[in-house]
Parts: sequence; structure tokens; C-alpha cells
Amino acid sequence: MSRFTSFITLGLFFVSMISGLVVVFAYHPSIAFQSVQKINYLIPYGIFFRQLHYFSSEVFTIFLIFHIVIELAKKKINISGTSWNYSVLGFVLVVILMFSGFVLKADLSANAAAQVAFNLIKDTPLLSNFLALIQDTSVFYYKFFIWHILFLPLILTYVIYRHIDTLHVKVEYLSIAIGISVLALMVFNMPSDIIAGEELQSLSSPWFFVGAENLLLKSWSPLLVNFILLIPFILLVLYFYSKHKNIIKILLVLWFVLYLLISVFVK
Amino acid sequence: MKYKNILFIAAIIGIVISLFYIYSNTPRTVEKITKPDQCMSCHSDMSDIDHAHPKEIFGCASCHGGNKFATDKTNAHKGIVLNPARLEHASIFCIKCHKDIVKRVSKSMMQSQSGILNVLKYQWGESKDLNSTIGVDDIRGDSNTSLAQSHFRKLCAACHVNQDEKVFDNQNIARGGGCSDCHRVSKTNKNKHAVFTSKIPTQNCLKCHNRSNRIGLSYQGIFESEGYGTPYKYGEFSHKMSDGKRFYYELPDDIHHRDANMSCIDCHTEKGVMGDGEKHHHMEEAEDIKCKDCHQPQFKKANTLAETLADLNEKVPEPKVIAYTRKFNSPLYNVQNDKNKTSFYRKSDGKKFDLKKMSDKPYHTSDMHKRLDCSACHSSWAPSCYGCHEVYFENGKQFDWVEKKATKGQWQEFRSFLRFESPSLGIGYNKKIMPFAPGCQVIATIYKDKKVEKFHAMAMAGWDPHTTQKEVRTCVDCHFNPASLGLGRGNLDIKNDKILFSPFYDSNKSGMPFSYPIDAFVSKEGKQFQTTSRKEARSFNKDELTSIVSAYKCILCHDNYGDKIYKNFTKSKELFYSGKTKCLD
Amino acid sequence: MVKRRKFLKFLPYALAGTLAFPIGKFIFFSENRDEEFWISLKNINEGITKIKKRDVFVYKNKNKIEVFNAHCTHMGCILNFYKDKQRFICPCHHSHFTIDGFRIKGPAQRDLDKITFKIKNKKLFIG
Repeated sequence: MSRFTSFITLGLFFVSMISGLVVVFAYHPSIAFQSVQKINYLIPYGIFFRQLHYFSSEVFTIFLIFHIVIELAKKKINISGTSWNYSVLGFVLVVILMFSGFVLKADLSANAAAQVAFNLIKDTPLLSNFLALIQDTSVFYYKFFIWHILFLPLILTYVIYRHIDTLHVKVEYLSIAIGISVLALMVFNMPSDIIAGEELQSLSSPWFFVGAENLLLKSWSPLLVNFILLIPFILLVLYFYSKHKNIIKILLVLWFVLYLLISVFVK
Repeated sequence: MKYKNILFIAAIIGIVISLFYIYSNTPRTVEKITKPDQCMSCHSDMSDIDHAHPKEIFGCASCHGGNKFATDKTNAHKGIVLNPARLEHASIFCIKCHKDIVKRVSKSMMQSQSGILNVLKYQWGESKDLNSTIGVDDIRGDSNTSLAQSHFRKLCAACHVNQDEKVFDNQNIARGGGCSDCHRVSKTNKNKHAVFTSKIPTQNCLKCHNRSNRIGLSYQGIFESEGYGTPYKYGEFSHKMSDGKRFYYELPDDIHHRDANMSCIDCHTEKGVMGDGEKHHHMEEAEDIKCKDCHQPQFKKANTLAETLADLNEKVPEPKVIAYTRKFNSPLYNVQNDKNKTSFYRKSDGKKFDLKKMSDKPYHTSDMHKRLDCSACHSSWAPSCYGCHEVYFENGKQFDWVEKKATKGQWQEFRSFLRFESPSLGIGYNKKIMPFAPGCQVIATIYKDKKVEKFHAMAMAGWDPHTTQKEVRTCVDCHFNPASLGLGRGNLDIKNDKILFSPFYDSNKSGMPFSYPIDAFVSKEGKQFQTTSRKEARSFNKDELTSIVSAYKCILCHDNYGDKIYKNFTKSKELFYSGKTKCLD
Repeated sequence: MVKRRKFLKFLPYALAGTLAFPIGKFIFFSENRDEEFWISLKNINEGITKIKKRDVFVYKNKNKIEVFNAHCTHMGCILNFYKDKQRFICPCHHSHFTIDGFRIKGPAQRDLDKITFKIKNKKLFIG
């Protein structure tokens, strides 16, 4: 089970990368929304590759969470401390990749998400100095773009390599990964792009940040919200070195349940 | 192992289906990439809005929004706007090119109606501030409504530029729609797009300017009558107005309408109508044009705005030397000077007229009449609606034109009587003498729970009624007509320099809560009975009344402006009183 | 078991083959599928010749040939050429341009855009 999940997760990562490689040919950060719409309607098979990229990324994240749960369920940790740390870093990078991907679709909700990100970083003491890393004065999406297509995939690839000591994905798992992505594509609908002027009551963030968004809605301090988002990663790092692994497991479950409740029930 | 089986099958199914999906369902290249946007792939047969916005260049989405790349109806129409001319949409779409116009209109009195609300509150004692600029958009959603606000909402607020056209039951009298309220001449009908023009016809203005002081009607020689609908024609009422409820007579129309068939925009400039960006308190502050601007024109070289407006008009010839308004320096590109000959061009079709300038005859230059506004002599009649009887039922329901739904509180409005001849004169907002008429004479009964409250607020207002004629009022019509003097209708005499006046109307007998005649602005002693809504505006005072009436003694014989006694009237009077003239006593 | 594994190993390559066509169409997609356009020099007269297919005006006099973009530099409406006035006037907002493409007046701020061309074999190639 563990090997199976982890291999498919890796396979999905590759599917996401390859489909992203296709879509990037048509994406222009300076006319972001326009280029996304062109992909949808004008470019041959555009919407297929966009959906493939979207679903493979989403399924990758879900399988990644399964993978983490399965590994935590084991009684013993089989990997080294370095590998473990890289894995947590990888998890962080995946979340950032997912968020930057959400922003790059450049519709109204993406724009709002980017603005919220800017403000959260501005309000955090040390991080505020690094706002220029994501905010660009002339082309709004440019820095998100270069992070998402270049730096983050490169760093993540290296991190994965340090985590599993190889980049070789078994081909049969690649097939299964493609299959799951396409199945998801068939069954589910990608959320539609929100165009300016549509009458909507609220814009929502990507599903994994809904809890944080709800807390911000209730006027919780941005600093506190940032900390709450970091808790699981801190706990995961500590897990390796801790002597009371069960406590950390319980804390993680608690955090997860609370976050889920906040995401679903707080409005 | 079992998992692997399932996933294997899932993978196979998924991949096989994907092959079918790729080759059949994936939206392929759109049939043709239409320019300038994909809207054209369905709406190519739509006609143009006007020559300045051709669809081949502008497309549809640049004004109407929506997704201009989408090739299917559902996605293409997401976020689409039906009437982008509405001010809230215009400030997103139109503002890309028409940068300042949308902002100016949003702040103008054509949208805020601040003068109406302001004066109403002042008259009904709810505010002492005549200089408020609170308007329709400021009171929307405000649950705390006073009587004046309630009256405004139910009986006045239908007329603002950004009103929602859909809320009118009788679409014949629908108004609003933002820019389209004035600029649209025909509605969208299937593939015929609504047509916009800069040559706005009078009928568009008349959608709203047919109430209050009835300027739009008077200009065309229409007088809202008592309401009998006579003469009966073929057993039916005749002379019915477009709302189906009011009736009219035909009286002499304004000379500008009769002789030149001018529309409102032939005089009223874009700055005066769309606003200059400031929030004004009263109409005259926002208004730009004055009679002098055309009839005593100041000519200058045509500026860029004049050239642009003339180009867009396409009928008026290229302006070289044109008149400008004195107030806002707006170009009157249709008043042109060519080799010292002044011509006026009608904007609707470019027809040329010789423009007659104000003569420098004694009647215009005489010192005695320097305080007279053009309208004092040249207005032939003014609709005067005496006695506005208001009844308010707190528990009734009536349509609120600001909230656009029926809310608590119901008003009913009736009048005492109507007149049009010999409008009263008084000192107007510009400190000059001009026609006055009731504006408004409110006698109100308020039913609240089981209590009945009564109040009255009698006011007269001055304005140019737009019933200009070349032939002016006779001397006697002003100097010895009690109605014109503001005394009301009745018998006037002067003995030993004392004014004697007995009014016809008896307010007490007529059940009014005041003793002065309802059509009396001022008493013969110069005591002003009714209020005005401007600090500067007032009736004639005692000295003025005496001087005007006693001048009639001279006018009886010296009935010509050119008469030498008028060259220095003060001196002539001195000579007369010291017995040094040939005049009889 | 082995067959299944072999099939799954073979699958990605099959998919690559299947998807090669769509990927190719995606990547090589271009909106402007215009071919090279040319017009015989015989059809170009002295003065202004309007070429509707490419939305350009060709100006020819004794010394030179110029090719102008027929879109007004204000909002892009197609210009009209008036022979009697020897100038271009835009029907939308009345910008005026000389026969040489210089802006005279109106809301347009720039002169007319010039388009590159080549003369080869008695043919005028535009673009």
C-alpha cells in the first residue's frame, strides 16, 4: 500500500509537470486572463490539457496527503532524518505550487487570492521584506508565473530526489497516474473561471486555504493565521525527532479536524 | 494486490475513454476566429449603435462585458451587462474612453435631484440649510424618512438619470437608464441595436422635464390644464398627455420652437446638462447658457472641443469663429460668425438661420429697466399652479422611487386652481426681476396613527418659463396689473401715490389656513406673504411697488421707450414734481 | 500478471503517440494563418489604392511607394480616403490625416502606421 501510493504520487507529479509543459506554451503572464480564455476556447485541445493539468495536480495533492497519512500510520520510520526533512519541505513547496497555480488562472478569484497573499505577507514582520518576491509592479502575475513554472518545480524535483534518492518513476505507475487524472477529468468539472461583472456573493480561495480564509473573515490576526497554517509542518518536522510520537500524531489529527471544521462550518 | 487490479482496470477504462474524448468531445478550434471578439460568431447581424462605435472595431464585449473569447452562450454571457449605459456599468466600461463624462453625470443634479430634495426639506422646516447637496443616491437605504423625504421618494424621485426603466408600469413614461436616458433614440429590437445620438431630440428631455415647473411643455406651447379632457372628440377625451392621466391646452409656443423648431440641445450646452464635475445646490448653479450668450455673442476661435462636437454632429458646418458661454466658456459651435454675419445652425439637421442679436434700442439699454431679466418682458405666460393640497396616510403604501418598491406612507396631491396669464414678477435668484409662480404652495394634512397634523408652507419660485416671444408684455401688464406685481388678482388703483388693491380671492372663505389671497406674493404695503427658496429671491418691496405703479401715470401718455422723458427719468420726475413740466396732474 | 505489467509499461508510449497529435496542434497553434500577400504593380495607380483584404492603403507618387495601415491610430476604425480633399478622414471620430499619413487633427495622436513591403518581380509584397 505504502509503495503503491508513493509511486502513484510521483507518477502524478510527472503528469502534472508534463501537462503543465504543454499549457505553458500558450500562457502569457502579461495578458494572463486573456491567454487562459484562449486556451479554453481557441487553441485546439486547449481545454483538455488545461483540465489534465488541473486534475493531475489536484489528485497529486490528495495522493500526497494519503501518502503522508500512510507513512505516519507506520510504527517505524524507515528513512533518514535528511530525507524526512526534505519531505516536509516538499510538502510546503507543493502547497505553494498549488496556490501559485490557482493564482495563475487570473480570473477574479485568483486576483483576489493574490491580493490576500500580498496583504498577509505585508502584515507579517519578517516576511514583509520579501513581498517583492511575489509582487510585480508592472505585470501582476509575472512573479507568480516564474515561481510556478521554473523555480518551484526545479526545487521540488531536487527535494524529491533527496527524499527518495532517485527520480526514476516506474512506467506502469505513470500509466495509472495518467489514467486517474483522465478519469477525474471525465467525472468532475473544473471550477469555472469567474469573470469581472458576474454577480457573486463571495469569491473563495483554493480548497486547502478555505479554513484560513474563514479565520481572516472573522478578523483573526494575519500573524496568527500564518502560524496556524504552519503548525502541521512544524509538527511533521518535530515528529521525526520526538520521543512522544503518539502525542504529535494526536496533535496533527486534532489540527486536521479543527481545520476541517473551520473550513466547513464557519462562514 | 486487489487494489492493483481495480486501478489497472480504472487506468484502462480511463485511457480508452480519453481517446474517445480527445477525438470527439474536446472543443476543437472554434469554427472561425471572429474579430474583434467571439461575440460576433453569433451576433454578426447586429446593427451598429451609431457611427462612432462600429461593431467591427468595438465588438460587443468592450461595452457589454461577458467573456469575449467564449464560444458557447452560457460562458460567453457570464458577467454580461444588458444596459452598459447605466451609470454603475458606464463607470467600468464607458469610462475607458469617456473618462470624465461618467463622473460628471454621476455628480450632476440630473442624477442627484439635490435641488428638489434640498428645497423640499427647507420649505417643510426640516432643514435650515439651503446649500445641501444630498441627493437620491445618498438617501437610498436610509430607513429614517421624514415627511419631506417620504414625499420626495414617492412623488419626485422617479426622475433621475440612472433610474431603472423596468420599474415603470406604463412604459410610455419610462425614464432612466443612465446615458441612454438622454442619448438613446430607439430601443434594441432583435438584431437592431439601440441607437444612440448626440443630436438629442426634445422628446428625450421631455420624459422628465414635463413636471414641476413644466418647462418642457411650455416650450412647446403645451399647458397642463384643469383636467377635463375637452374638447371631446368622437365621444372621447382629447388632448391627453402620454401618461394617460393629464390633459393639456395649446398656448403660444416659445419663439425658438415656433420659428426655428430648435430642440433643447440647440441652447443647452453639454457642460450645463451633464455637469461640470461639481455638486451643485440649485439648478441655476449648474446651468450654463444665458440669453446673452447667443443674442449678444462673444466670438472667439473654435477650440478642439468645438471641432470635435461639430464633427460628431456631421450636420453643422466646420466651426471657425464661434460664440462661447460666459459662465463656463463652453463652445456654442452652432453659433458661428462669418464675415461679421452671425448664423445659427440647428443641430438636428444643420439648417441655417440668421441670428438676430439683441438690439441696442432704448428698451434694452434704458437705465430704468436694467434690473429686468430677459424673461421678465419676453415671457408670454407661465404655468402657475396655486395651492398644492397634500394628504399623507402613514399606514397606506405607495411606490418608493428610490428603493424601487412599495413602502409605507401614501401621498395624494391636488391643486386649488391653475392660471397662465400675467405671471407674477419678483426679484429672482440672479437678483434680477423675473417671472414667479407657485413653487410650491403646500397645504398638508398628515394622518399618523389616529392623530391628524396640519401644516402649510407657501412659497413662490422664479424661473424662465421658456415661453419667449418677440413681442413683449405691454407696459400696463407689468406696471398696472396687480397679478404681475405680485399682489394677486383683483382691482388695482392708485390715489395720491398710495396703492389701493382689493383682491378677488378670499382665502378665509376658501378654507385656507392663512388670510392673504393664495395668489398674493406680497401685500400692497410691501409685506412679503410667501417665502422663496433662495436667499436672494423676494417679492417687490414697498418702494419698488410704489415706484412701479406710480410710473404708470407717466406711461399713460409717454407710452414709448424712445420718449425723451425716459432719457433721464429721475430728472424728469424732479421736473414734474416741481411743476416745471407741461404734464397734467 | 506479467502481461498486465507489460501492458502498463507499454501504455505511456502508446499514450505519447496518441497525445502527440493534440500536443502538436496545441503548441503550433497560431492565430494569424495569413499567407504571404502580394498584388501586381500594374494594379497600383498614382495616388491612393485601397486594399481591402489586408486593410491597407498604398500611396504611390513619382518618387516613392508607401503602405499605410488603414486603421485609424485612435480607436482603430477603417479610414476613408477623400480624393477631393486629398486626405484620410476617420468616420468614427473624425481624425484627419494627410495623403502622406501625417496626423492633422482629431482625437488621434499618432501618424498613420507604415507597413513594411517588398517589391519583387513586379509584385508588391505586403507585410
